Amino acid sequence: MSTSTLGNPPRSMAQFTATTTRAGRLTMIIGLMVSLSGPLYLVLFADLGVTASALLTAFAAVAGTFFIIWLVEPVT
Amino acid sequence: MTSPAASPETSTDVLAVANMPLLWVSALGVFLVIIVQTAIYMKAARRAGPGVGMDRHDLRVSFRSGAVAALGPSVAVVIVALSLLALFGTPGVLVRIGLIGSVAYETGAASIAAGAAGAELGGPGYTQTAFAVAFFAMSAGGAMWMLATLLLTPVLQRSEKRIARLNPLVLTVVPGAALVAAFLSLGIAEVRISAAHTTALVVGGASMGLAAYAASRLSLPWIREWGLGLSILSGLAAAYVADQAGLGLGIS
Amino acid sequence: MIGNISNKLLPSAVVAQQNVGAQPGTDRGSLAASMAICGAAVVHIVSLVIFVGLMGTWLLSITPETVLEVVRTYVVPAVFGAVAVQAIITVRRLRPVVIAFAVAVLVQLGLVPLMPGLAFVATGICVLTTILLTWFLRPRVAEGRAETAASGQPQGK
Repeated sequence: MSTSTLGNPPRSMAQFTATTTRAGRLTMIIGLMVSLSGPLYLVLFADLGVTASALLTAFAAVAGTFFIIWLVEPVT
Repeated sequence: MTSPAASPETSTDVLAVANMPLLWVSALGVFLVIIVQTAIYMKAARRAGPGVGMDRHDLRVSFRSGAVAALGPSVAVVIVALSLLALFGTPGVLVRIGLIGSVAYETGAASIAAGAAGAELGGPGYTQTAFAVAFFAMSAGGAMWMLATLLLTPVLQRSEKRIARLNPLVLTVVPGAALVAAFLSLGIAEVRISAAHTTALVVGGASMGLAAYAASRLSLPWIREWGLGLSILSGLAAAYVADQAGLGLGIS
Repeated sequence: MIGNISNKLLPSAVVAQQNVGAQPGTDRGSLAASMAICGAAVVHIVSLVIFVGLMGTWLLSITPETVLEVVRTYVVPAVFGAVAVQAIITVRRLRPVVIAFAVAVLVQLGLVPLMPGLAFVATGICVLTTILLTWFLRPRVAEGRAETAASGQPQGK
C-alpha cells in the first residue's frame, strides 16, 4: 500500500517538510502582524479618544485572565 | 441612533468605525496571507508527490475530500459570524471569528476589555472608543497567545510530561474547569444587567445542551457542529421576546 | 494559522487518506492530509468571503436599526451561555463544574455588587479560584485509577 515504510523518508519528502515548516512559521508571523494593523490603526490614528492607560488596563485584564488558562491548558 | 455630532466617547454607532475601509484592507491582507500559505503548501505537495508515490490524481482526490468535509463546519461558522456582525463589524468578525481566533475566546476577551474600559460589551456604554479598546485587546491578546504557544511549546511539553507523571488530574480536569469558570463567570456577569440578558444566557446554554444531547442520542454529528450557531440564534430570539415583555433594556 | 482551521478538520484529513488508500503516519498519508487541509482552507475562505463578507454586509445594510440593537445588546449573553455549556460538556465531570459554578455565582453576584471596581478582574479571580479549588478538593482516594470508580463521582453518561 504505502510506498515508503522502510528507512529514511525520501529526499522529496524532507524537502516538503522543510518548505511547509518554514512557510508555515513565516506566514503565521506575517498574518499576526497584518491582523494587528487594523486595531493599531484604530487606536493610533483614527482619533477615537483611546488613551494609553485604557489600552494597557484592557490588555492586562485580558492577558491576565487568559494567561492563567493558557498556563494550565495542555499543549497538544 | 446617535446624532452625527456625537464624539467617539459618546457615540454608540460602533459600526461606523468597525466597518472603516482601512479595517477592510487589513482583513483582506490576512486572507491574502492564508491564500499564499495554502498555495505554498499545495505547490510543495505537488513537488514531493512523485517521490512518495502520490500522483496528481491522488493529490486532487485528497484536496477534494478536504473541501467537501469542510462544507458543513464552514457554514456553521458562518451562522455564528453573522450573529456577531452587529457587535464587531464585518472586517473584525472575518478576521477574529472566521480566520484566527475562536468565538469563545474572542467574545470573552472583548467582554473583559470593554469592562476594563468601563463599558458593557454591546450595552449602552459600548461606544466607538470602547469598541476600539476591545478590538485592540482581543487582537493583541490573540497574537500573544499564538506567539507564546509557538515559542514555549517545546519547554512546556517537557515539564508537562513531568506533571503528567505526578498527577493526571492536572492535565485533564483542571484546564477544563478553568475554562468552565471563565465562561460561567462572563455569562453570570450578564445576569446583573437585566432579566432579558439572563433569558439569553439560559436559553443559549439550554439549546447547546439540547443540541449536544440530540447529536449523541440520534448520532447526528452535524447537530453538534451547528449547535453553537443555532443556540446563539435561540438565545437571541428568546431575549427579543423578553425585551418586548419589558424585562430588558427596552430596545424599541 | 492554517493550523487553526486544521484542528477542526482532522476528520477530513482521515477521509482523504482513506480515499487515496494512504496509511496515516506514512509520507503518502501526510501529503494526503496536507492537501485535504488546503482544500478545507479554500472552502472556508470562499464561504467566509461570500456569506460573511458579501452577504453579511448586505444583511447589515437592510436590517433595521432596532433589530441590530437587539442583536448587539443580547448576543453576548447568548454566546456565553452556549460556550459555557460547551465547556461543561467537554469536562464531563460534576465536581469541577459545581466548583466553577459556585465560584462564578459568588464572585459575580456577591463580590462584584459589593466592590464594583473589581468587575473587570472578576473573571480572572473566578478562574484562579476554580483552579486552586479543583486541585485542593480533588478526590483523594488512590489517585489515578480510583479517580473514576471511587467516591461515587459521576462521569458524564
